[in-house]
Amino acid sequence: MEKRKTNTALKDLILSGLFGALLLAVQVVLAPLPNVELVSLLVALYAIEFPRQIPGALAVFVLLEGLIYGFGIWWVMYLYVWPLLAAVCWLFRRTDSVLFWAAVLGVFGLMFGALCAIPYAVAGGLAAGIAYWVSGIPFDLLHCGGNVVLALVLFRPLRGGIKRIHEKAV
Amino acid sequence: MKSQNKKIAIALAVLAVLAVIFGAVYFFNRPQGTAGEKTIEVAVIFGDGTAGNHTIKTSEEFLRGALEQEKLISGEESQYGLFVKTVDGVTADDSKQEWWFFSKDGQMLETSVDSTPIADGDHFEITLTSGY
Repeated sequence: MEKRKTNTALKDLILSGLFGALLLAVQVVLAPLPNVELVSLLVALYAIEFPRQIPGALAVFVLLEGLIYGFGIWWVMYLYVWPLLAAVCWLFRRTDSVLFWAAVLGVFGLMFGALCAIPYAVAGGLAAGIAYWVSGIPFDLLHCGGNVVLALVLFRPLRGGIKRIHEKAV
Repeated sequence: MKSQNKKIAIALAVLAVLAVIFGAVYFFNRPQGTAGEKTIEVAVIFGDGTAGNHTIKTSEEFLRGALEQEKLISGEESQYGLFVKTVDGVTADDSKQEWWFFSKDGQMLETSVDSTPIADGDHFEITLTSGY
């Protein structure tokens, strides 16, 4: 009984590390493309299929991002933006519609700048936060479009792959 | 099934409404330059605290154009516009976590050099800063 618990904990740890590293890898590989990213889709899929491992995966991802790019004010946003997305996706985990997930990820892309403006509003005042958000809206619209297209194209195949990992690993 | 369709419809409606609202907010608040001749002041503050002051007469509408006109800045193109690496001949050293901090009358700029409008009499500071 104790051994099984240890094995499960070890599996969780390994999967969390691997998932976190995969998030970092897709972020770095797609970084040159303006506001096109796969992190949102992967976080959604992890939240649906691997809710137990996602806190660890996000912790690994956020920590690695900080180590690579520095722990600036932008890093504070990562502490709540990705967990928020994961929580929303987990709430709707039983919904199996590509259109629905494309819409959810599109809304997340649109809201990204507004969510990221919070630390700027705290540090520099509400006007600074609003200015930060407004100046980034064109990028949020791009982010939204990118997320919708990627979800429409990749949600099914990636979910299939992640389900297979789930069946083998858990 | 019915409940799933309802969820999809709500999600798509939220997406469409937010996209329209955000687009409208940007359209009515986007940074806009003003045509005509203007004079701006730019202070470049180096790592040792010394400063170089520049008075720029320009017809450019945005900060990037004015600074490039004087060959004061260079850098790399990025998705957000020019990522300024060199100012007044001094290049920020990534290995020391150096970067150029842009401010106007001491207030951090919220827009890139590409989309920061300039007006006659504006005063900008560009400070070599260490640490992310």
